[in-house]
Amino acid sequence: MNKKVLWIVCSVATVNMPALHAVCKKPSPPSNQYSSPDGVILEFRPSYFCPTSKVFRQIFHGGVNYQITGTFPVYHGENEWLHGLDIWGAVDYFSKKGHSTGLHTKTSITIVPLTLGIKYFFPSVGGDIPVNFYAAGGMKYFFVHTRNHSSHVKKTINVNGMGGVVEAGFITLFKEHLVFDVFASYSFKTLSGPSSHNPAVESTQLNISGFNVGLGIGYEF
Amino acid sequence: MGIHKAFCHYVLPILAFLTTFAKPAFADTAYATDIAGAIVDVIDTTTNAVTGFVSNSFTPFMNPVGIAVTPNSMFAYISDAGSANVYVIDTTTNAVTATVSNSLVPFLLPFNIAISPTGAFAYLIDVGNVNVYAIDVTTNATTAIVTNSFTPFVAPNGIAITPDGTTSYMTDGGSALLYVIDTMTNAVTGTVSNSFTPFVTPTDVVVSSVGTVAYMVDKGSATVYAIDTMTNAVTATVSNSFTPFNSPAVLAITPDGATVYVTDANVYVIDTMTNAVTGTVSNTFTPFTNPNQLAITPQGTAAYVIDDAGPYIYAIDIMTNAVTAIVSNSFTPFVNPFQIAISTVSAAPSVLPPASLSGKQIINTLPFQKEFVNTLTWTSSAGAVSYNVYRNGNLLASTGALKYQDFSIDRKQQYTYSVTAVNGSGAESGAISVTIP
Repeated sequence: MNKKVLWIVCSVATVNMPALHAVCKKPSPPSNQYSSPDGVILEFRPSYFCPTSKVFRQIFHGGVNYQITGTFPVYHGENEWLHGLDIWGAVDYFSKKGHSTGLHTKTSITIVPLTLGIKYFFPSVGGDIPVNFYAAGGMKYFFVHTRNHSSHVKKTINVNGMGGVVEAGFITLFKEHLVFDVFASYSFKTLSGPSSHNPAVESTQLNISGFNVGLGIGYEF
Repeated sequence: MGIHKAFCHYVLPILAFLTTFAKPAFADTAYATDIAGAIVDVIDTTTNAVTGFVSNSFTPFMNPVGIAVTPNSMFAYISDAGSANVYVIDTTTNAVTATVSNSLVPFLLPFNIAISPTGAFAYLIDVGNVNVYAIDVTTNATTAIVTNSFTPFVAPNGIAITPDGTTSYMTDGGSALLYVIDTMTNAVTGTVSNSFTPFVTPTDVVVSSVGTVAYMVDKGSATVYAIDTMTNAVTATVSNSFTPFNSPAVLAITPDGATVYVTDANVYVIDTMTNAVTGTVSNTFTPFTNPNQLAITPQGTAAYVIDDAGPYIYAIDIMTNAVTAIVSNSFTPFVNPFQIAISTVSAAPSVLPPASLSGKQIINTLPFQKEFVNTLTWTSSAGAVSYNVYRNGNLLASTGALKYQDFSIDRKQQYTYSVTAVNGSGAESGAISVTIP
């Protein structure tokens, strides 16, 4: 499913780039005293995920998270402060193999969260290479799939639930449309496992919260 | 030197020595509850002497009454009418290791116990609340109370279980019936039909090792009945051309099913082929006064009978049907020995148990799951080719490794594990035990 989503987003981005540019481009502000990204931005953002849960770290450590993210301007009026307000959407993919604590049996986890939120770009600073700092927050719906290579516990577990994310970073534009992004985020969610009927097994929660620090590269349409 | 002479002088003595050495020898331990002495005596059947008593760090014994040993001889169960407990004893250490947990109707006066020859469960008669409890020997917990849609229980007493563990027979002196219990459903399925002398006060019952015949003694009618376990009907009464039965009380049957012993004013010997008394146990020691409870060793070589008067515990040679000794007791004197049961272990095992055994519960943490695993590790034993792992007396596995992980546990339950070593000829050592967690 994750690969499909990635494929669709990338296809749309490459094939319809000029069309998107035409549709999504904001009208220019009345004066040039104000500047923030005024078009749709699509980015590919790899980052390092550092889980806050000790159990998660013991089993999987950290790992690389891949994200396709998009920001869509929502305000086209005169208020320069509202001009930096964008709708923010993203899909992530994190997959890692690990070993249980205790018996060190193989296990793996795949997390695919969908994010919908708001991102605010502050007015640009800098001269020749303007930089826009931004802050964002939103809801993050997590789909989690785990697989265990032990014959005595549940082999596969699929759970999902709503969490959240906050993020901060900055972007800069090169050659008008090329976007370079540096960001840090914190996502938070604790999910409960399905109940167990095996008296030797106890169902537990897993805290999948954690910090991401990464870079992004994208295109402004 | 001729061949014959050389054979007689050298080969035969060597063969005799080897035969003697290889002969399986057994050391049986008898356990006798003393209802008034509030102890459980441990008797060495080799010396016929009390060697100590069962140690108990749980609720102290008050009036221990019933006793039964698991088929593998690793555990004994003792009911205590005074403390209303059922104790589990490790026969390796002669110490109480657990009490039977009971979330059903509380015990009031737990009395007679019978353990299934399969070793999976036990039945306990409580004469106080007139209930019959099923006990899971693996978990040491009651699992059911026997239901009875027939004539209600009044005074249940003796109980026995068929070798395949499917059926139990229970006497009731109050209702004058012998009940048949289906052990799968824990329900009374009928009563034994009797077209002979009617039952008056059935007291005790035994089932043969092949399971085809049961014997029941009726104190009231002074009769011993033979019962076909296929039809659940009395097929004969035991004929007695010796001193007539007066008040027969307790039965025991030899492991080969050939002989039944019944206590009365004397100890009678019954041939199960003819269903006839063939004699009484000869006794050149202090004469029997009131012989009551008796038990036969698992090898069928000796019987032990408690005489309430005295009190004495007599050892009887099954071959000769003669008393060979009175059990000596240099510890706390017998006050009122009540019941006796016998466990057996190999006396001269050619393989020793592991020198050390350690056990711990490992928590295997996986995403969304915690798996609790009881893990045992032990040291190797010289000559051992495999190790048997027991949980609460039941064989879990045979392994050549020095480690065993038990995944099929209840994480809230405490288990006692025992490990024995097995040598190439199949001889099994004594056990070393550990309790987890």
